[in-house]
Amino acid sequence: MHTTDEFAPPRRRFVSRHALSDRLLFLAPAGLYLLALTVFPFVYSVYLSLHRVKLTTLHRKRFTGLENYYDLFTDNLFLDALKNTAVLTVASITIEIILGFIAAKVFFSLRSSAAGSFMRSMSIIPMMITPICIGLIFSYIFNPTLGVANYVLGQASIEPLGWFSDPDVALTTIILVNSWQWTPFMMLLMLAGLTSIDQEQYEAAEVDGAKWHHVARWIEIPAIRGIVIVGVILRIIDNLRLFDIVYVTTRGGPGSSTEVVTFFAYKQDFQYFQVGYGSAAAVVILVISIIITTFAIRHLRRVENE
Amino acid sequence: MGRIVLDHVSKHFGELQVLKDICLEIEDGEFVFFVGPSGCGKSTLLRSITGLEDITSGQVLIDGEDVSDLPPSERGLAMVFQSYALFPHITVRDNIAFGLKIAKIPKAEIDAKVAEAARILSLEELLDRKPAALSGGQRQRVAIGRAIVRDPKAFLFDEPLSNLDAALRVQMRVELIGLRKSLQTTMVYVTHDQIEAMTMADRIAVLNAGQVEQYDTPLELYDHPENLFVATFIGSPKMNILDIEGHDPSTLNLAGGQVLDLPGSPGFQEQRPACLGIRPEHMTCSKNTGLWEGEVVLEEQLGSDAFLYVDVPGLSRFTVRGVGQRGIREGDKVHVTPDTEHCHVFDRDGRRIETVDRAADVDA
Repeated sequence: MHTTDEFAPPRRRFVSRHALSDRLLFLAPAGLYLLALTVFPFVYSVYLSLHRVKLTTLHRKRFTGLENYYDLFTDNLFLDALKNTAVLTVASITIEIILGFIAAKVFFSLRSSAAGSFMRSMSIIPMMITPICIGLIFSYIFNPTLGVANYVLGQASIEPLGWFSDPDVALTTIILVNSWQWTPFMMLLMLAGLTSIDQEQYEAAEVDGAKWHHVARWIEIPAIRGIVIVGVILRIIDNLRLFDIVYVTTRGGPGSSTEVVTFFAYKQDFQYFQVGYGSAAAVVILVISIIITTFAIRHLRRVENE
Repeated sequence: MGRIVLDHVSKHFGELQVLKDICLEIEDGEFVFFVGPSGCGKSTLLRSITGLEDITSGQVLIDGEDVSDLPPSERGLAMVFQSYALFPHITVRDNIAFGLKIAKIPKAEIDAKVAEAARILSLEELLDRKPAALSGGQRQRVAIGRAIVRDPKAFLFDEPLSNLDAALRVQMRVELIGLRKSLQTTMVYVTHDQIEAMTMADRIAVLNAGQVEQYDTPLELYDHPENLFVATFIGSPKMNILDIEGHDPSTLNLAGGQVLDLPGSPGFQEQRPACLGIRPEHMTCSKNTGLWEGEVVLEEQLGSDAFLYVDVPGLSRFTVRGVGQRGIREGDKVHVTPDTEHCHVFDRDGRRIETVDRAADVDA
């Protein structure tokens, strides 16, 4: 015992020198993985985006500087895609927050009943389904002639809608599908936030004569604000990457009515083989994501410090 | 005004009856405590008065008006919670003003009331802080401030000091007594801490298994417990309880063939004495002479007092309180003697049997 104490300091230094290389060794697989699948593709994308190059003739590229970027911001299709993505993101997240809050309140009030926890488990199923399947399911539901949606409208004597085929409706339909799938996520976050509120706060408010909207404004919304911001950040990133549902249901159409940025990049890269142009679009998406999340995280820090 | 009457109040949680036909009267301006072991229903009773729990039968009357069916906010009461229940995201000022703001009271009036409450509770410096930046005692004061500004008919406290450390609890106790003097409002207070109850209460209701065992002044509870439960619940360390195996007109036969002469016991004809209770301070301990001989098995030394646990073979283990006791150690052979003037006798159902002195007191 005594001898170990005497030699403790040098031994620890000895161990720590070893530990550094050990640690690096343990980190290496993950680091390599990251390098190969994230860093390299990103750097290569930036490199490609500065060239005029086709996927089929990658060896024949011509350096064009920022020309791809200039073209992008004068390309109406890309600008439409940006606008659609923005509308989709804002509308979906708004719906998800409002419906999610209502659902969270319902499940919160049912939290001690078995039926409540069963329904809560059921309600998060949409989140677990692959977006491709969601797209397929809804393309059946919203099928103009065979779909159940138009059948229901017909029963109510309402003209059938071209859910995915009408340029005025298609984006709204995508928003509905998207928020249907992700409302449970917001609901879960808010439910967790509500559950963390001390029950006595509700009782204190009740004794003071608070109505539901007082409780929401003074107790519940402040308590869940931080966690909702985290949810919003995640959902913004998700929506900027949204691809599968559009790919399965509308492929960006009709016209450019449901064109989103990822689908635009995909088309340039793998349909038109314009990898330089497509990479430029991908880099723009990434930059937008980084800007938005930086602001959101800064806001989150401020909320947390309050 | 704030006279609260509980008239045959019962409360069921499904099959379980947590309040059993409780009748209590709390006078205007009185400071009443509910004490009892965990799960006795004391918090439920308080919450029934507030309206946070519905009662199954009976009535809650405030100033003669039946409020049993009114929501908590219309009963004119204010409650202070164990966790303080402050809203963490708003300032102390907004916390105190919360009830007034949602009642849409003019801003000038709110400001005046908040300032007054802050003055009474010495919170002026803290009004713009968030609750997280306050100490436990300060948070407790904010919770009380939130109650004061509503100008309630009565304050209801649900174990308000139990989250505080011991020193702060003593300080808050003193502050509450001062507050009570200046407000002169009815206060009902739930605690499991006997010291809080004994030091602050006008009257204490001792609850057990949903029933009121005794409702009386602190000293009356201590000196003349109506039953075995109150006798053993009130007082620390607990009263010594001995089984009585038989009795003559003035002698009790105890376990191990021991006898005790107990002067004056007229009630013994109708009620069979079954238990004898002696408080630790009503026993003396001596190395030389005394009634029962035993051995000290444990000594708890508090400086001002010493609690000696004495085993008397065949009879019982006694707790004896010696004021300033120093000379006796663990393992010593000692003699213990009960003070027969201050013994309590209970029948088989645990009810008190009055001995002659007390009966004479009551007559007079």
